[in-house]
Amino acid sequence: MTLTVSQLNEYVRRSFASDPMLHNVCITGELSNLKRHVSGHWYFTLKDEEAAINCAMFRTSAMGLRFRPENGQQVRVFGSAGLYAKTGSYQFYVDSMEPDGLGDLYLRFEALKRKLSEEGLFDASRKKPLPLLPRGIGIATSKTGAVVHDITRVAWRRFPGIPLYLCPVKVQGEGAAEEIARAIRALDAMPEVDVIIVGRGGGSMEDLWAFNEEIVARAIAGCQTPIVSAVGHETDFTIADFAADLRAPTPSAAAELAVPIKDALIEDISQLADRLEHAMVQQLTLRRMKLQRITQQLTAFSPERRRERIRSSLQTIEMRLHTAMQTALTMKRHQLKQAALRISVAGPVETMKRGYAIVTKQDELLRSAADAGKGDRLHIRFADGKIQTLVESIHVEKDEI
Amino acid sequence: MARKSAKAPSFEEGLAQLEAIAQQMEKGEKPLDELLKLYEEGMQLSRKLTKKLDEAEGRMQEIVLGRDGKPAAVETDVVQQQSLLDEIND
Repeated sequence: MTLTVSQLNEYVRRSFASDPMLHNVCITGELSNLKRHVSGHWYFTLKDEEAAINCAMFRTSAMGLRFRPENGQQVRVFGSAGLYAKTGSYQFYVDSMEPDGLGDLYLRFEALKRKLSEEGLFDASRKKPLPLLPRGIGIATSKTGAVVHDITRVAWRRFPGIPLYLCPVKVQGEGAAEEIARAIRALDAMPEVDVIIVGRGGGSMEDLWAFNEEIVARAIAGCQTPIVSAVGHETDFTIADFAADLRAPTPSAAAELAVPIKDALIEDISQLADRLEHAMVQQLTLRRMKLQRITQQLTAFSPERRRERIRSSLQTIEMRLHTAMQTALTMKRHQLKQAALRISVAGPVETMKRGYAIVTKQDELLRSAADAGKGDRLHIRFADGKIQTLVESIHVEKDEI
Repeated sequence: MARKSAKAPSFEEGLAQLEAIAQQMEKGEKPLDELLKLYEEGMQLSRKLTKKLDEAEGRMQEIVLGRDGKPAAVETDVVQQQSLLDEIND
């Protein structure tokens, strides 16, 4: 039977995968050839005195690590053995890893962590908030090295000239923990220090060990001033981090947490001042408008306005009277004209024109023949003139009277 | 914390007070003379807070511990502000 390489590798891969003995295995060994690939996957060799095995730890598993593995370190890994079919190489797929050779330190770390945690030293209720604007920043770190420069650069970029108080300490080796603890207490005692940053740069677990000492944890926990820890790299966790009010992943980040951006604060204040200004102007405007409205309402009831209204209604009445009068006069004048016309139609002149005449005696109208006497001087008035005459005879027609 | 914050009203307290004054004024329920008083008070506070920001003198001091453990601030050669500021401004 002839197989292709692929077929053989695939067969072996499957038989590895189906063997329960090769799953959930725990092995110990010394780390070497540790490579952290850009993809986030880790590759290394695990070896003992006689043998070695290639190991792969995928990104998601590597991210969960709570310590920083170093070449030469004794570790305990959990995972499964398998075959990488592409190269036909057999390797170990690591799900999790913990220090083994540093077992002593690791156990001390875990034991202290548990003890202080049970004491309530890490309780969230103990954490103090950082002030928005600290008067000064206390820094407990090494006088040499990048950390103090990083912190200063970030602090003064955010807030030019914010006072910094450096308390130089040994950050590793004999007596480092005591110096750190003393520095924390000294900075805490300074009234001008409102936040303390304690930390150091990256290093091995032994390098960082001072920050896992109980004396440091207790100094941090007993500190009245809010304290930010920045120990090692982002993946390093120390007891100091648990005890601090805030853990920063790096010293620069600690400065960012502790120091506000001055320009942003100035902007905040000026915005608030603008709001006051605006509110004042608005309130004044509203009140001025209200005042105007009320003044208007008041003047409507003033004596002047009343007199004006009365005057105006009097004028109206006057006008109506006048108009009525005019109308009445016009009507009367018309009636008069009509009457005059009628009178003129019925009057003596017109009648006289038709042939009648008016007879008067001594300026008295003579209505009856009986009123005249013989020899009376009578005046006869015609439409166009008059005649004087003497009465010669009178004849009264009695029946007709 | 209690010991430290008791020393002086903090910046955030001042800011919170200023915010409260702004809110009260924006509601506008107060009589005019009280509004004017609030305005005056708020403006003073804003000037005070701004002044507080400008009070920072810009220095780094080194803390040395005396034999009695008492800290004392001395000039330091660790960070010269000017050189650092130059670096920041770059």
